[in-house]
Amino acid sequence: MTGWEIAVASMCALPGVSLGLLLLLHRQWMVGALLVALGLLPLALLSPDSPATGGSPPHGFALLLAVVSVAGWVWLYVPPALLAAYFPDGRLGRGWWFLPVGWAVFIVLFHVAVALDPGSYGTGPNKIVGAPPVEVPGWLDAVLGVTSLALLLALLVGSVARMTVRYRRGSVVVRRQVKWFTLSVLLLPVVLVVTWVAYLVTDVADVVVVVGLLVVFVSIPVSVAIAVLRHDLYDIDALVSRTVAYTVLSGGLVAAFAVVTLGIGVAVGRGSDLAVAAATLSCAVAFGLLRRRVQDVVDARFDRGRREALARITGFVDAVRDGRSEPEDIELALRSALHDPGLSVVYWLATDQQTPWRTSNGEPTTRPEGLALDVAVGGRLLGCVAYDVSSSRPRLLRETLRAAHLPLELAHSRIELRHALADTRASRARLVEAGDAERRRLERDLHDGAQQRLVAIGMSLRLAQQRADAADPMQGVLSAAVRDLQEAVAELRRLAGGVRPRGLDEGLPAAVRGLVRASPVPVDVRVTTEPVPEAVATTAYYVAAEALTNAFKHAEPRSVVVDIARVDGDLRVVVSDDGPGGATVSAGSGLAGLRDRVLATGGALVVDSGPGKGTRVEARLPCGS
Amino acid sequence: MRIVIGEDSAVVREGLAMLLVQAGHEVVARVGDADSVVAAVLEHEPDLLVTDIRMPPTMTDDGARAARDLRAKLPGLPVVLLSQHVETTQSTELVATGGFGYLLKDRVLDLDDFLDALRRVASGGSALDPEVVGALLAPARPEPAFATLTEREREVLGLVAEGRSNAAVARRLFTTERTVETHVRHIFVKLGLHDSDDDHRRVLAVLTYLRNSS
Repeated sequence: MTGWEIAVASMCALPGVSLGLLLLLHRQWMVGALLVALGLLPLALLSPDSPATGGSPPHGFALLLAVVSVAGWVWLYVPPALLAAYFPDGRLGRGWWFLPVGWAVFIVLFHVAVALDPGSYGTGPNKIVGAPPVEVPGWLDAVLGVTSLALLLALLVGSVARMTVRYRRGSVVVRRQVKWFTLSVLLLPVVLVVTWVAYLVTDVADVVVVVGLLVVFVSIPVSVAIAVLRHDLYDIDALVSRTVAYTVLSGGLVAAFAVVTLGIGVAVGRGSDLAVAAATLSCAVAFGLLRRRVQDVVDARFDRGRREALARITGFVDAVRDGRSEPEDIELALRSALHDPGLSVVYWLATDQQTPWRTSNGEPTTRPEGLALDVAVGGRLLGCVAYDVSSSRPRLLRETLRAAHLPLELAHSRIELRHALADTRASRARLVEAGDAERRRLERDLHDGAQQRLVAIGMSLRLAQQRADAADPMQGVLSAAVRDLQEAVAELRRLAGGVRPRGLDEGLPAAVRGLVRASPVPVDVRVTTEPVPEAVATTAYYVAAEALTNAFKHAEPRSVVVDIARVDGDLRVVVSDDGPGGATVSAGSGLAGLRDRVLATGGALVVDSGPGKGTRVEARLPCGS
Repeated sequence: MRIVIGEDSAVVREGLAMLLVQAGHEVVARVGDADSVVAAVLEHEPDLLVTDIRMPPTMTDDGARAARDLRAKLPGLPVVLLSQHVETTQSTELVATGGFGYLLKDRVLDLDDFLDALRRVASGGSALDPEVVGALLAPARPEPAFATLTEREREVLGLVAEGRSNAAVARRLFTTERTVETHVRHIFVKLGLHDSDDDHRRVLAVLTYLRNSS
């Protein structure tokens, strides 16, 4: 055994042993132990061959050691095969007991076969000095050898089957873990291909082989450890897919390289620089042309999830652009694309400091707990996407979100706009209500303040009049003063009535009937007796008053209908006449001012007045909230 | 007459009280809110209650409600409601029960008319403010029956609707009671109403007719 070999064996041992110990620390007993075994085996197999060469034929324990040193290479299969069986949770599962038992049987069988085979004895490397301890018929030895090799194949197939079953029945996490394991196994063919290339074109094949071995011995423990401890570290589907693609590609390129070098070599002469150059050039061109195509084909096979997710999102973006889908539905699109029904998109409104987080409907919410990815465009935070790690692939989610920037930004803008609009509407309604309240206060002040005081002064004057002599010339002056006062009081009353319709105190029906009491034409009045919010009743009153005034002033109708009713939660005010029609809502007119008031309460006002069809004024006033 | 005054404005309350005392009435209680009105009336059982409609505690129609409650306890209690503005629906309904008056506050300044109205109500009659009557009679609607009334007859109808007797109407129009009687008879015939001796019934009849036809 050379120092080289020991160095390589040690380096191969190191990752398996250390990561195995790490897993043992995490109480992953079975998988950890198997990794340690995997790391130690190359070292263990290298050491015992030297004492058996030369000297006398071994007996007893020495013979056993000698047999192991010849047949021991099969031990190398055991840890990976058992890992495949026990991975990732360290449990074998019902009905799979035959795998470890089978390996034990196989190991014993194989060693017996080697020990009894006369071909194992003699001189030279990997031979045992002396002769078999027991003479057996040649056929028995042959049967033993064939049986044990068949058993080896069966056990390897069994491990693969165990893994497949696990993958099929496993949760998303188990599947991801199995994929990690598969990734490291996939490296074997890659290493093989690279080794062939090294033999074909370079002088450093030995070094490449050593590096390849190292890669395999490093990759298995690393990927197993990642799978068990941090299965969501990388997007495993993409890794697997890429590894497969590069394996296929490099295999193809090696074949192409070989064909080109051989072809040109035959034509021009072996080992010519031209052959190597041409082969390299054609490989480089082929790589450039094929890489993307091969990757696509492999992706379609090995990473269908990513492909389908991206395709779905791209389709959704197109649908939004064509107006077939609402951008707010991006949440549903992401859920179905990533197969994560718990995924939710929450938007962040910079304009609302109290409740900045909003759902897709614009309703206030909180920042989701648990895993969430922030979504920002141009440094501006749009919101975040909460996801379930057992369903979503974070890296794929990130990639998908990049593809979904347009609808996310659109949805964010629309929610922001709706919020601003609702704010404006609310503040407009508040302004109208504040105006009403102010009018009410003014009207009260007029009645309870100025008017009362004038009446009180009048009373004092009357009292003075009564106490004075009936013939006093002051009597006339006082009477005139009282008359003036009465005029002033009447004036104030009219003023106050104009500031706010007093009739509303007695309810909307009474107020509207009061409006038509002085009507020159018959008016059919139907007013709901259901309670109506005060601001709505006031608006309804103003609409009816203005529409009636217009009808009497301009239309000269034969009859008018006022219909105020609750319809679908709204208060509907309809004033229609049978006049000549042709009325319009021109800027600055009474109806235009009223329309602003109606809009401020979130309602709508429509004037329908075709020539010869009469005029119909309809207002819809929401009563909610 | 023994009178209880309910009025939340102190200047108006005292002014009114002094005027009534000057006119020879006895003001047994003057109070400023609806609850005190009820208490004072139950304590003194006056001949007449004169009260503002808008008073504490809620500053809406507390006075009118107190009056209604009192009428339930003391049937026939004469009440005159005072208001700063006209409320046609509520007032006409109140007047319908008789022994009720409804006047704008500044009518007090027409002292003779006011005292006359108080007397009328105290003796079971009615008093309805001319402004209310005006609001009811105002429609220039081509109502067939109403349209047949002469100018003079409408004038008489308005005064009758205020609750005045034929004699009072005659005084007001500077004519004889007999002439007024003739007018009233004509009016009731034209409007299809039955004549009646009872003052407030006359008011009622007129008001009912006017309201129903509007």
